[in-house]
Amino acid sequence: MTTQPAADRSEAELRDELALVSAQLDSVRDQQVEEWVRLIRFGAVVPLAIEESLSWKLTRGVRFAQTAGRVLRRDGAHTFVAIARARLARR
Amino acid sequence: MTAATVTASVAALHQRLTVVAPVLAVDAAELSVGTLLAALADSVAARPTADRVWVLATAIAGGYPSPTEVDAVRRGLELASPAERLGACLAGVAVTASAVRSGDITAELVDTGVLVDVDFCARNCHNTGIQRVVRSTVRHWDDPRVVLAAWSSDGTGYRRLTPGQERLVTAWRSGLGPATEPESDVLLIPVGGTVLLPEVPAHRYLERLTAIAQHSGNRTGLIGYDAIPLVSADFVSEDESDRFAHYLTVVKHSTVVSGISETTADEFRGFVDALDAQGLTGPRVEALLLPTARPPGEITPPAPREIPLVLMVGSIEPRKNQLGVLAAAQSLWNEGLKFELLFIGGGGAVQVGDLDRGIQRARAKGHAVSHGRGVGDDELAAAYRDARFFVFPSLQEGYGLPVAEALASGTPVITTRYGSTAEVAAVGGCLLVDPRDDADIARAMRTLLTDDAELARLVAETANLDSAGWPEYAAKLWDQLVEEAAA
Repeated sequence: MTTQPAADRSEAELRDELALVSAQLDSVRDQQVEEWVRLIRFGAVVPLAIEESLSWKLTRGVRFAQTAGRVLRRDGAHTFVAIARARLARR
Repeated sequence: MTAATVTASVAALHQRLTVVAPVLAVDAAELSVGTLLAALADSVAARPTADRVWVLATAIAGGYPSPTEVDAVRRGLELASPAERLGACLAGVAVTASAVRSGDITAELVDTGVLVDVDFCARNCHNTGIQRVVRSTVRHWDDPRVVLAAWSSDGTGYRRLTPGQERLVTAWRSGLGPATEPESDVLLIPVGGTVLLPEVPAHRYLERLTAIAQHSGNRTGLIGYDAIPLVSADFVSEDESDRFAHYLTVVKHSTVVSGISETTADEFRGFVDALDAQGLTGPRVEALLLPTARPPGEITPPAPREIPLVLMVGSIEPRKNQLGVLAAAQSLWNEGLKFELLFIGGGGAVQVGDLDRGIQRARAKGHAVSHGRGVGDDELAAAYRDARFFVFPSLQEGYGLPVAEALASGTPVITTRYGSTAEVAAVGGCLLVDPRDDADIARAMRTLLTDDAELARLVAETANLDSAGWPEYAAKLWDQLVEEAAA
């Protein structure tokens, strides 16, 4: 049996982690769209109120992605994954 | 609310976004709904032209956005950080999205097609004036690019016609009932083509139509019938004037207007000239006189008559001047002339009441005068054919379809000496009068009741009419509104 080099193993793990985070980000975006649909179709919310109250909620996923991208560029993949895990764990 | 209905609405949204993705240069394959929407928002933000914003806003909302919403989405995409774009899009179209009654609206792209709004004709059995023009024209447009459309019942977007609606538009006949099938739940999204408005749309559609004309990137072509609701507001209801004023906001952003006469084209040109004050160019305005076509209905031999028939056809309203004709007739009856006067046309209760009271007074004096309502095509054609002459001294017309129909039936006409009726009368067969002068109307009527030689001369002139009919008109209109607009 051969042992995979530590550096390679770390890279593979990171790829898996990134794929996982990416899938989770897709899921978060989908949930945000679903929330919008629910409010538009079934919510007792007037349109102006939607505009005023939901924009923050609706942009949560993409704000997360933007922050993650900035961290990835500045601090590297390990830090990015750590932050992503922490943020997702808080949901 | 059930989870299944939310899931179905999200699936419908996903379908709409997938349909417009190629137009916005996004590969939708394998993307989930949220990620696809984010990708589309990013793509439009990178090149936020009005047409791309309109397409994205339409797909998200499931209906056509208002101009305000298009601006909101465009500004949201331009000013928001990338993280805020998805939210800006969703929030920007909330008003239209919440006005769409069904959550299961999917979309069909009408790519470089010719979408023709025939909403009123598709919903109503009414067949006078504008409806005759629309039905007589559209049936001759057999180009494969044509998609006939009516508005959804919630007024948020175009749908393909149901079979029953299609019959009402392209195969209309007397006695046909309204369509009863449920409407389609597929929103038509026109892209890179032409949207034609051969009717004057209802008020509730005008805001979305303005956005289509102004922002969608489709060319917009209209038939201009007249500007009466604005320039002669004293003849119409406040609602009608209000609707027309807002209709002009669609006109000013449209590509081309085809006026049904030079008179009407001049009215629209006057409006376009005024757009300088708004820094707008406005549409190109052309004129295309409606054809002098025989009215629908069976041709049968004239019925023998004891006294001559004088006919007036048109909606009962002050602008058409039925009371002027009745006064002129009264003066001729007082002179001892014998003739029957027949008014055909419907109208509002007040206007019809005024006319009918005048008719009752004349009948009380023993004069032959009547008013026909709900007259079918065959009866109308027979009346045109049986009349010694037709009288139509309207105060203002966009064209004057009854004048043309009378002439095409071989019946001489007395009509107004200015405006579009004078244009129609230029082909011959007419005496022209001042419609505001009852004595002038009476003078012309006396001539055609007593001067057989003059009557025969005018009848002979009707035989020289241009034989071009609706097929020729439809072909020329297509060139003006579709081919030349695309050139």
